[in-house]
Amino acid sequence: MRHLTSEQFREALGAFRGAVRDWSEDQARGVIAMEPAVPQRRFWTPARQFALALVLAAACIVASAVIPRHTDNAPASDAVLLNQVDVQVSRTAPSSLEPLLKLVAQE
Amino acid sequence: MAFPATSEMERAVPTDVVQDFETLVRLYRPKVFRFALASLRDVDAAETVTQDCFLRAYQASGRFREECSLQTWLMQIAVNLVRDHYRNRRFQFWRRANATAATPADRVYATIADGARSPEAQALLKEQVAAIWEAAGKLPERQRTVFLLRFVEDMDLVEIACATGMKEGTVKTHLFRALRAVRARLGGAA
Repeated sequence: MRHLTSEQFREALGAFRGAVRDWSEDQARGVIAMEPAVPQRRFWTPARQFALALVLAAACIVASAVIPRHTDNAPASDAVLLNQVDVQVSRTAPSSLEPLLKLVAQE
Repeated sequence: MAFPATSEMERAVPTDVVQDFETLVRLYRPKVFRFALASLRDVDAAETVTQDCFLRAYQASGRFREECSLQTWLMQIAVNLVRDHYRNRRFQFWRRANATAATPADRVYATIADGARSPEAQALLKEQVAAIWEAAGKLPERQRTVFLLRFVEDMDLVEIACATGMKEGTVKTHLFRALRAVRARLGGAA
């Protein structure tokens, strides 16, 4: 173990002080440098959310006006469909068996 | 948030400083951060302590009676916060401190780059700084606080006594023991 004079000890303490101060400044800069990495503004700000809502509402209004409605033709379509069902139901046998039914009727 | 129960802390910051708290923070933030960092050796913890220190100073700004300087008053708050932090998170502190890569010894070459020292002398000084840093980390809490306030923050004994709430004689005793321990460690490194 080497003896350390008082002068050397003071010098070492002075170097220690300077090193700690420089090191602390470095660490502080590291903290500050990390701050910009945090997003400063979110994309979905209230203003953008409101704008998006307006756009969606406008799209719905336009779509409701442009897309054709079928409600007017609905009664006619229903009548045709009901007639078809009525015809099918009123048959005593499927159409493919109708010739056979005719033969049975003749006998 | 409770203010540390220390009667000396119930002082009021001078009116002009209260009105310009940003100036106060700009002036003393590096010092408070440095002390917290050197004590806790954890950047995040030091940053937390620093912010908490100024928050408490702001909250108590109406109770400063100028018995000691503004700087000493802030360091008093910082000392109490570091003490609380160290006691509450002792095990976390040591685990994180061990993971810390950079130390002040890594900054020695930049600090003493005056061209007047030989490479051997610079290397020796770096070893000595590393030894002091290691020895300071192993000091008991009060000795470490007194040592850092004296030899990093350059505060005199009266200021340290005010900041730590100790009597001046007690500060001297802790400082003597800290220096003895550091010098013993340094003697081995030199």
